[in-house]
Amino acid sequence: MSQTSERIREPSVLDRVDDRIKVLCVVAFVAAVALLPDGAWTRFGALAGLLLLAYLLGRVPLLWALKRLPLLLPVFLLVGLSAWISSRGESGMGTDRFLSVLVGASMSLLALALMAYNPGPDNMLRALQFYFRGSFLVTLLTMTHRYIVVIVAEARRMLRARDSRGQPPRVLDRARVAGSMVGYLFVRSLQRAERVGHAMEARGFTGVYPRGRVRPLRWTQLAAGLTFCAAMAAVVVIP
Amino acid sequence: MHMPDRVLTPEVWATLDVASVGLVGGAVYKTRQRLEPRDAPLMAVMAAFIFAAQMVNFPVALGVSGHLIGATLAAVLLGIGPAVLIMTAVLVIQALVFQDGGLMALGANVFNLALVAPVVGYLVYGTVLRHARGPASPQVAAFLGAWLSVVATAAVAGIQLVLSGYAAIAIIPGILLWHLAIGIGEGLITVAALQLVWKAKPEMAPISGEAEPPRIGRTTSVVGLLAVASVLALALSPLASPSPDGLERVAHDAGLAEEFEHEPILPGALPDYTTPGVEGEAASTAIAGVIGVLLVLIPLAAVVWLITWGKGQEEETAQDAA
Amino acid sequence: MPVLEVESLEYKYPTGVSALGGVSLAIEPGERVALLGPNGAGKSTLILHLNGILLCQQGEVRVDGDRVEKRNLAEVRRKVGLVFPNPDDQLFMATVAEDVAFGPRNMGLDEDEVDRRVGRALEAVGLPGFEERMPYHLSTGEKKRASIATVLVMEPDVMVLDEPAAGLDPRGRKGLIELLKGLPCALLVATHDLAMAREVCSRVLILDGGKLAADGPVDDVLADTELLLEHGLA
Ligand SMILES: Nc1ncnc2c1ncn2[C@@H]1O[C@H](COP(=O)(O)OP(=O)(O)OP(=O)(O)O)[C@@H](O)[C@H]1O
Ligand SMILES: [Mg+2]
Repeated sequence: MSQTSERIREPSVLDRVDDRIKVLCVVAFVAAVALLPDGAWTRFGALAGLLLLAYLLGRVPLLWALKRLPLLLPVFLLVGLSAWISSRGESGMGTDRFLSVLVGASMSLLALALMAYNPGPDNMLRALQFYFRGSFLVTLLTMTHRYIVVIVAEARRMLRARDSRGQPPRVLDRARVAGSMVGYLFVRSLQRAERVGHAMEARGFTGVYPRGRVRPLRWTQLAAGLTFCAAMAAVVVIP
Repeated sequence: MHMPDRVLTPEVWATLDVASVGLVGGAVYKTRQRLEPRDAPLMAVMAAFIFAAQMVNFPVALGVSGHLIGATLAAVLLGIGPAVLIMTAVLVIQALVFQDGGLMALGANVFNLALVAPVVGYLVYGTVLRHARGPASPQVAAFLGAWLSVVATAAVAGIQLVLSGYAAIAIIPGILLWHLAIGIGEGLITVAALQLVWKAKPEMAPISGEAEPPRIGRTTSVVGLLAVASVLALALSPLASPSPDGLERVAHDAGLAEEFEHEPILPGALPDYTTPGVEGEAASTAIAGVIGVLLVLIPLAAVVWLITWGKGQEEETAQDAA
Repeated sequence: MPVLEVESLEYKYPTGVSALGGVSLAIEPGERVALLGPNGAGKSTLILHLNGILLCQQGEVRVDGDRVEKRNLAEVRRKVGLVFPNPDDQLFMATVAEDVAFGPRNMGLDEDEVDRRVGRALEAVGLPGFEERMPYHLSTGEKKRASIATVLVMEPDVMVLDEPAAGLDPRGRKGLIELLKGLPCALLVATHDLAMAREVCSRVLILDGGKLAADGPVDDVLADTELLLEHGLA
């Protein structure tokens, strides 16, 4: 799950950028991709080049990221169907729109995958804690991410135990078995939640993560980040 | 299904981003007023639970497998405010860590799956529970809540897609039909899960346990259900829209137009899905849609009431006899 | 004056199970006490009262002579540290360092002091250099040590450990015993491991059915086979 977070590797160019700035840049990049007009292929190309450059500079395994793309398939089917029907009707979306969705959605996904690799989920969440200081939602996200590992492992063990015993023949029964497993997982999670709550309270927790040392953002880093954001805005605005 | 980036147009996703920030912010504020420190880990572990529960799949047929979304389950077990926050946390983690769903589209996904889904599920569950008092009514209420929550979510997503310029005829029937089926799976899993939880933790069960059933006022029920009905109607209305769009054009090209003309979608009372005597095609289509949905919902409600009420009677008679 | 006193403590769970039926005990500064008892005796329930996770229904708990109440919870939790049986419940932050720093930060210490304490605590439990590791990728033994560090770092007067040896292999267990022997504070250790109790503690309490069945020097109590048999400990 967090196979990427504890990687041991030579520091790359990307590692010299402050995590908080990387997060900012990815958000600006994704926003730019989402805002480009349909069929602005030069600009799509420029952004794609930028993304590829980041992958190369960060020595991020592109193949690993490309493996996430099939997530988009169902939506592409839907969009493709719609484009096909529209092309036979009078109004609606054309080929440009269809291709722009294909390209844009993929680029956005790859940018998010890059962020999940470097700086990685934990540092990303820490950056969010910096931007949204004292936010309850960010505390919730951080803890959720931590416990997903534990509870998913529990769910996997249950699924393995179920699958090793085969499935009931009727779909209805299979749904019921899945439901019981979910219910059981809930009860176990509730007990765990109680114990975690105790452990946190025992150490003086009062509802929001205490703030640790906040490294100030170096102004060079901040300037670079803001320049990047401005460039993204320019790409969108200037045709 | 989570929307990736760029599928929706900027007007649509930006509006939904703003709406979701406001609504989730409100939910955070409301929920935190009533919570203690130990409820933060509770919600985090529950969000992790929902995430894991979505992995518990079951084979349906032909390599297709069903799984839970969990919004109604969360709302029934933990209340509506926590359910909204939990589903939001799940969606943000899915987008940021697993690239499931886009970032600009996060507002849309939160709106559909963390707001519409739990609210509809909770509303239907609470309303049915309030009116049906038989022994099986919590199960029936939860099934309907889970099922309708999935259908309503699909309808809302469909509307967003149509607003983004997709051909309604290509989007809506597919999405709705598919989710009418998916919703059944959601309902079955939700009920089975609840049954186990209520057995293991009787104090969480409504009616028999201490857990107070959701307190949803009559006005909220009526207004809420009407809103759900209107959304479903709105999603369906483009289907019957009189302007020749995609599918009909295809049909025309293929020489099937004649047959289409004589085959209104809702035969009888609402010819071609418009209401006689109402000016303006859009308005009349929408009203026809609402009436159509009510025509479906009212018998459904009656059946539910009969089932649950009947069972209650049986039980009482059985007890009398004993 | 005892650092920790419990007087006629009774507790009933909402389900109606009466877990504690009038327990009284006192622990002096620096004392090492083992808490023995069969499964379901009420050990964990008693422990949850010691720093106010559960508040007394009947009787009272005093820390440094002060009754534990809602108003003084922060202070109580600084003085009495709890180590829970399952490290996965106890370690909830992204890195070991952040997890260990969680308590001191809640205490409002400044960051330099937090850093110093985190370093010292990790050193003390034998995990120097583990700062940036992720808790969920540690071995069971390392997780156990990290859990102890998260409490040790708050420099409590009493540390209460619930089943610290569960899941450890013989070497891990031996290491844990050495670690516990070296801790500077008073200890209350709930365990099923009599040999460990003998090595670490000087006094033994036996809890059964929510009531204290024995309280005495470790050699006397553990030599009384009849008593141990009676409470399912031998
Ligand atoms: N959360 C709870 N709700 C209801 N009953 C509980 C709860 N926790 C414990 N009990 C009950 O209280 C009694 C004491 O349990 P406790 O966990 O304190 O025992 P223990 O001595 O720690 O046992 P073990 O050695 O198995 O850990 C048991 O009968 C148990 O079933
Ligand atoms: Mg115990």
